[in-house]
Amino acid sequence: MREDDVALTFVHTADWHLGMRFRSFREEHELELMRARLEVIDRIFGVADSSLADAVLCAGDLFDGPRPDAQWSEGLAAVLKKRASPKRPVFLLPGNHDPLLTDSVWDPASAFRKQLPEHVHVVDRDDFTFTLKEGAVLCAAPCRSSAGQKDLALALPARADGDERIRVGLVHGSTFDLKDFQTNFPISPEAAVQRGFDYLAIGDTHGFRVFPPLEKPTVYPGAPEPTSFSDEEPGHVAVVFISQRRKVTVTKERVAKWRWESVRVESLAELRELAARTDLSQRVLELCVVACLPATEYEEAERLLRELAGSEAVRPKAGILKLDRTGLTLDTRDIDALFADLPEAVRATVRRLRELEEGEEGETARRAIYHLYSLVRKVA
Amino acid sequence: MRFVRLVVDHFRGIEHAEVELGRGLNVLYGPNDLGKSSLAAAVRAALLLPHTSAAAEEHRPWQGEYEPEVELTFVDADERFWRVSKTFGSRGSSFLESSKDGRDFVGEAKGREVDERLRAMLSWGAPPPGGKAGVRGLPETFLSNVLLAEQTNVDAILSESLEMDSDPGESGRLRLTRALQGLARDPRFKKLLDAAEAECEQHFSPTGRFRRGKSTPLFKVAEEVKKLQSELDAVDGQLRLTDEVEGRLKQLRARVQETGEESRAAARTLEIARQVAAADSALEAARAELARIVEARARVTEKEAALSALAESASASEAALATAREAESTARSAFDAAKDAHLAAASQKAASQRAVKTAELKQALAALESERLALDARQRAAEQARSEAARAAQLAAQQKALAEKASAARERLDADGRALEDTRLQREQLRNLLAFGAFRDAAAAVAALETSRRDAAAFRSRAEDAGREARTLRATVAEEPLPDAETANAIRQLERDLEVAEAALGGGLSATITPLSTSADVRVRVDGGEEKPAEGTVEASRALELVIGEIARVRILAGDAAKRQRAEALRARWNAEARPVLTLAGLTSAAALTDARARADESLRKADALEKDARQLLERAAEVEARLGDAPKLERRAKDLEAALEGKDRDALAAIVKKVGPAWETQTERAARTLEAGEAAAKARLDTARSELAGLDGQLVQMASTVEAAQKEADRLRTVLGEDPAECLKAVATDVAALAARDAALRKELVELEGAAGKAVLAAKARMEEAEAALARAVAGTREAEETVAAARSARDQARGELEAARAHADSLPFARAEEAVREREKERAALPASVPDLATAEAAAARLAEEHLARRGEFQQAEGELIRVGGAVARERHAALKAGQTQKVEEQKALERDAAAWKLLRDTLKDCEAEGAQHIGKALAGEVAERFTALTGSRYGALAMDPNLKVENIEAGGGPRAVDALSAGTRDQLATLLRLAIAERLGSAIILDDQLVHSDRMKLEWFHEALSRAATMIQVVVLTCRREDYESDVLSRGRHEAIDLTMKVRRLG
Repeated sequence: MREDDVALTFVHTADWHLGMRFRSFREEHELELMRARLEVIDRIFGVADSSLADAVLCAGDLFDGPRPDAQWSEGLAAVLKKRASPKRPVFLLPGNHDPLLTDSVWDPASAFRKQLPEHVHVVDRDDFTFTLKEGAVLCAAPCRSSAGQKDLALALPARADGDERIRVGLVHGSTFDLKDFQTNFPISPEAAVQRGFDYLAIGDTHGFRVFPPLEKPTVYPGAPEPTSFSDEEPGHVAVVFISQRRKVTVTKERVAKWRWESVRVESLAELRELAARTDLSQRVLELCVVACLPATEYEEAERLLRELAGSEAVRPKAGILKLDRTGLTLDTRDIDALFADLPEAVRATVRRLRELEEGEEGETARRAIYHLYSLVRKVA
Repeated sequence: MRFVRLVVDHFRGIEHAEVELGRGLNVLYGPNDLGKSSLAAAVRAALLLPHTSAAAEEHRPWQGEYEPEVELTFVDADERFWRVSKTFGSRGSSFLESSKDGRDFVGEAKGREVDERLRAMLSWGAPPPGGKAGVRGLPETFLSNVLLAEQTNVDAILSESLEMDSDPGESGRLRLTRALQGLARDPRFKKLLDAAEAECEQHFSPTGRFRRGKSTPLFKVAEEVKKLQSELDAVDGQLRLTDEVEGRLKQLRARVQETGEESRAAARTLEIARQVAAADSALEAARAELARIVEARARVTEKEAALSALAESASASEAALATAREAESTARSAFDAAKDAHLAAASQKAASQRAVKTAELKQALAALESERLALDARQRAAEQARSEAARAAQLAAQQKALAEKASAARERLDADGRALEDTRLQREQLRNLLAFGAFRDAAAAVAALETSRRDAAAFRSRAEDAGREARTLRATVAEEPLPDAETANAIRQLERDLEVAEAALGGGLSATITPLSTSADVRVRVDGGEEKPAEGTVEASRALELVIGEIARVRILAGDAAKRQRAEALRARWNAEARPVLTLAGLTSAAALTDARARADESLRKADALEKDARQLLERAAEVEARLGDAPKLERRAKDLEAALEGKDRDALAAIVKKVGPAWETQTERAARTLEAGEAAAKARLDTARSELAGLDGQLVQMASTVEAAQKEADRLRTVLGEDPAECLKAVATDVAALAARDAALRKELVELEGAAGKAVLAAKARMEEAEAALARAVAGTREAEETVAAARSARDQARGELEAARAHADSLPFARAEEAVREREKERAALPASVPDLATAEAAAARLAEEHLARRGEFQQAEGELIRVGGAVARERHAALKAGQTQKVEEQKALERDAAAWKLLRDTLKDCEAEGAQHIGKALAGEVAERFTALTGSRYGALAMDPNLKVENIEAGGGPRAVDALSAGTRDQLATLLRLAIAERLGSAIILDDQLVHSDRMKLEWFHEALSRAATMIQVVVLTCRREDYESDVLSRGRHEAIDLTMKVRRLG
C-alpha cells in the first residue's frame, strides 16, 4: 500500500485492566506488574505517533473494575492529558469488567471524566457515532453491565444504501469460539459483514486474534501487558491502515515490557542452563523444579534459585520469579559420608532423620537433613 | 548457689549464732558439741522444712520456751540474693525475700509459698509441699543428701539413688541430666545445636508454637492467605450464582428458541390460513361474479326465446285479430242491425270505459313487478353493506381492547420506571451514607495517625533520654580505672591469703625502746603500718621494724621461716600486683575495690538496661512510624472523601448513622445490596414490560390496518348504497309491503271490472242481445284478439325491451375477465395448502404461542438481569485469579511451615540424640569419680559402676568388681566425698561437708586438700570440723579459703 493511498490509520488496543491484582505474586512484584499496566499506555501512544494514526480506539476493559482506585484512574487521566492530541482523538469504551454504570468511573459526574481532555471521548451512548475524518465514521456501543447476551456488534447500525464511507465498529464481547460467550456479550462472526463495517475493533480476550473475512476483519488486539502465563500472544496493539479503496491492512506492534514464560526443569543441568540465560531480566518466570539431587547438587540448585530470585542485596537474574519447588527433593542415599567425621550425636541425628524419610514427615526430614548439611558447611 | 550468711536463734543447743560465709572453701571449726551439726541442720531446715512441720520439734531449744528461728541468705546462679527466714512451730512463719545487691531486700513469698518457691528454685527432687506427693517432714532427696549430708550419714550416699526422690516432676534428675549434658557437649555439636536453636527461635515460641508475630514471614503469608480466603468466600457465592443463573439461562435460551420457533410457525400457519381464507373469498367472489354474468347472459337467451315466442304469439294473435275483426264485422253488421234495434235501448259507452280501465289496471301491475325487482336488488346491496359495517365494527372493538391492553402495559411500564427511579434515589442516599461513614472512619484514622506521630516522637525522646543516661553511666564507669571483676576477685583473694598468711605468723612481738639520747631518732613500723616515733613498749603481732636514725633499719618477724616466706611472697605479690591497681583506683583495700567494682558493674548493668529500654523505645517508635507510612494516603483519602461529600447534608447523614447505631454500616451495606437486587429485578421487569408493550404496539398497528381496510370497504358499500343500510332495508321492506298491497288492490279491481256485464235491452234485447252477444263475442273476440295482440305486442315489446336491456347488461359485464379472474383465483388457491386450520383456530394458536414466547422471553430477560447482578464471566475470572493467588500463598505458607518444622525436627532430633548419650548419667559421672578415686588410692581401685539413677553398684578392685560395702569406713567416706564433690561441681552448687574424711590418713587428707582447693575455684565448700589442723595446708591457703572460728560465732545455751 502506498502512503498516499491510505485513507485512515488508527491504533486499536483493549484490555488494559488497570488496577488488576496479581495475587499469586509477592507484594512488591504485584505492584510492579500493576504499574506496568499503566506504563505501557505511554508506549501505545508512541506507536500511535510513529504510525501517524488518526485515532486511538480502546475497546473496553480499560479498568479491571467499574470503580477503580484513584491511583489508576488519575494515572490514566494524566497519561491521556499528556499524550492525547486534538488531531488524534481517543475513544474509550466501557467493557464488561468496567461497564457503564451510574457512579462508575465512566459516569459523566466522575472525577476521572472531568479530568479528560475534550478530544478523549467516552463511548457512553448506544448510538455513538463519530466522524473520524472525511469519509470515515466510527460506530460504537458500550457494555452497560458485567454480563449480557446482546450482540453489541449486531446492534450497531447497518451500512445505508449508497453509503460509501469507511465504517469502523467498536464493541466489547466474546466471539462465538470463546467459552461462555453466550452470556458475555456474544459477537457474531458475520457481524462485520452484516453491518457493513470495514473493520470491527473488539476487545475481551487477552491474545492477538484476527477473524475473517480479511477484507473486513474482526480483530482482538489482546492485552498490551500480559495478565497470565496462559495468554496467547499478548503484549500487542493493532495498527490499522485502510486505503481509499477500503482495503484493510492490520499490523501487530509489540508494546509490552514483560514476557511471561513457564519453564519446567528436571535436572541440575537444565537449571544451570536456565540460570545462564541472558534474556531473563524482562521475564515473569514461572519456574517448576522437579529433581531429586544429592546434597552438593542440591546446594548448587539452591544457590542458582537464589540467584534467579535475588534478594534485597542481590539483583535477581529473573525479572520476576514465581517458583514451585515442591518437586525439588534431596537425595539422601549417600548423605552419611558427609557427616562421617562429626560427633556421634550428629551422626545419630542423621540416622534418625533418614529413618523418618519413609514416613509422613519424609519431606520435613529431608529438609532437616539439608539444614544440617548446610549448617555443617557453614560451621566448617 | 552459695551461702552468704546464716543466723540461728534458739535452735537445738544454740542460743544464737551468726556466720558470714565467703566464696570458695569455708572451714568452720570448733570443738565438739559446739553446735556445728546444728548449723548444718539449720541450713537444711531453712531450705527444706516447712515451719509448721512436726519434724521441727527436734530443733526446739533444749532450754526455754522459744521457737527455733533460722535466717539463711544465699545467692543463686544469676547472682541474685535470696533471704529465707523461718520461725518454726504452730505459731511460726516463713518469709522469702530477694535482693539485687544483698542489702535491700523485697518480699517474694510467705507461708507455704516460701517452700514451694524454694523447692522449685533448688530443683533437688523434693515435691511441692502438701498434696499427695508432699512429704510432711524434711524431704529426703538424693541431691539434698549429696549437698547437705548429715554428719551421721557421710557415706549413705553410696547406697542411695535418684529413685528415692518423690518429686513427680523429677526435678532432681532433670537438673542433673542437664548439667551433665552441658559439660559433655562437643564444641562442634554445640555450634550446630546453637545454630538450630537460633533458627527455631525465629519460628517458634518457647512453648513450641509457631511464632505468628507481625514481623514474622508466617504472619505475613498467613494474613495474605486469610485475606484471600475471605475474598474467595465472598466471590464463591457470586460464582455459584453465576453458574446457576447461566445454567438456567441455557435452559431458558433453548426454551425461548423453542417457543420462538413455535410462535413463528403458528404465525406462518396463521398467515397461510389468512391467505387461504382470502383466496377462498376472492375465488368465491370471482365465481359469484362469473355466475352473475352467466346468469345475465342466460337471461338474455331466455328473453330472446320469450321474445320469439311472444312474436309468434303476437302474429297468431294478429291473425286471430283479423279473424276476430272479420267475425266482429259480421257480428257488427248483425249487431248493427240489432243495434239499430236496440239503439234506443242501450249504449256502448260503458263497455268501452270498462275496457280502458282493464288495460290501465294491467299496465299498473306490470309497473309494480319492475318496482319489486328493483327493490330486491337494493335489499341485497343493503344487506352486504350492513354485513361489512358489522365486521368493521367487530374489528374496531378488537382494536380498542388491544389499545386498552397496551395502555395498561404502558402504565405498568411507567410505574416500574418510577419504582426504578425511587430505587436509584435510595441507592444514592445509601452511597452518600457509606461515603460519609468512610469519611468518618478515615478522619478517625487520620486523628489516630496524629496520636501515633506524637507517640513516636515521645518514644524517641524517651529513648534519647535513656541513651544519654546510659552513656553518662558508661562514661562514669570508664573514667574510673577499675580492673575487671576477675582481677578484683583475685586481688580480694590475694588480700585474704595475705591476711591468713600473716595471721599464721601469729605469736606476737614485744619491743621496749629506750632512746639513749634525746637526739636519737628512733621510729617504728608495726605489722607493716605507718612509721611513727618509737618510745616505750611496742606490741606487734607478726612484724616490727625499727628505724634508728640513719644508722640502721631493724626488721623483726614472727613465726617460723616457712610461714614467713609465704607471707613475704604474698606481700610481694600484693605490692606488685594489687597495690598499683588499688593506687590507680584511688582505693585502699580489696574490699573497697570489690565494692567499687560491684558498683561499676551495677552501673554497667543499669546502662545495659537503659540501652535496652532505648532500643525497645526506638523499635516501638519505628513500628509506629512504619504505620505512619500510610498517613499521606489516608489523609488524601480523607480529603477525597470529604470532597465527595461536598454539598451533601452531613448532619443529616450523621443523624442517620447515629439513629441506626453501631450496625449502621452493615445495615447500610445490606440495604444497598437489597436495593441493588431490587434494582436489577426492577430493570428486568422494565425490560419485560417494554418488550410486551412493543409486541402490543405491533399488534395494534396491524389491527389498525385491518380495521381501516374493513372500514373502507364498509364505507364504499354504503356510498354505493347511498344511505344507511339499515334504513335502506327498513324502507325497502315498507316499499315491498306497499307494493304488495297495491298489487292486490289492482288485481281485485281488475277482477271486479272483468266480472261486470252490460244490461240487455228489453225487447230486442234478445236479438240485439244475441247479436250483441254475438257482436260482443265477436267484439270481445276482436278485443280479446286485439288485447291479445296488444298484450302480445306489449309483451313482445316489453320482452324486446327487456331483451335489449338484458343484452345491454350482459354485454356490459366482463365475462372473459371474470373467467380469467376465476382461473387466477383458482390458481392462487391451488398454490396454497389444501388443508389448513380455520382462521379462528390459527389466530388463537398464534396468539397463545406468541404469549408463551413473550413469557419465556420475560423469564430469560429476568435471568439475564440476575446474571448481570452476579457478575457472569467477570465473576468467574475474578474467582479464578483469587483461587490461583490463594493456592500460591497456601503453598508458600506450607513451604515456610515445612521449613520451620524441619528446623524444629532437626533441633529436637539433635537434642534427643544428645540426651540419649547423656541419659545414662551414671556412666557420665562414674568415669570421672573413678578416675579421681584411682588417683587417690594409687590405682588400687579401678572402674566404678553406677546405674542410671546414680546408685553405686560396685567398684573394680583386685581384678574384679567389689561391693562398696566391702570397703573400709575411711575408703567409703573418701569415695562418697569424691562423688558428692563431683555432683556439686556439675551443679555449680554449694556443698556442706560435716565431719567428712575423719577416718582419712594425713596423706589422703593432703590429696583431698588439692581436690577441695580445685573444687573451691568453682563452688562454695563449707567444711564443719572439730579438727582445724586437718585443713591447714599450703595448698588450701593458696586458694579461696575462709577459716571461721565458730567459738566466736556461736553462743551456746546455758
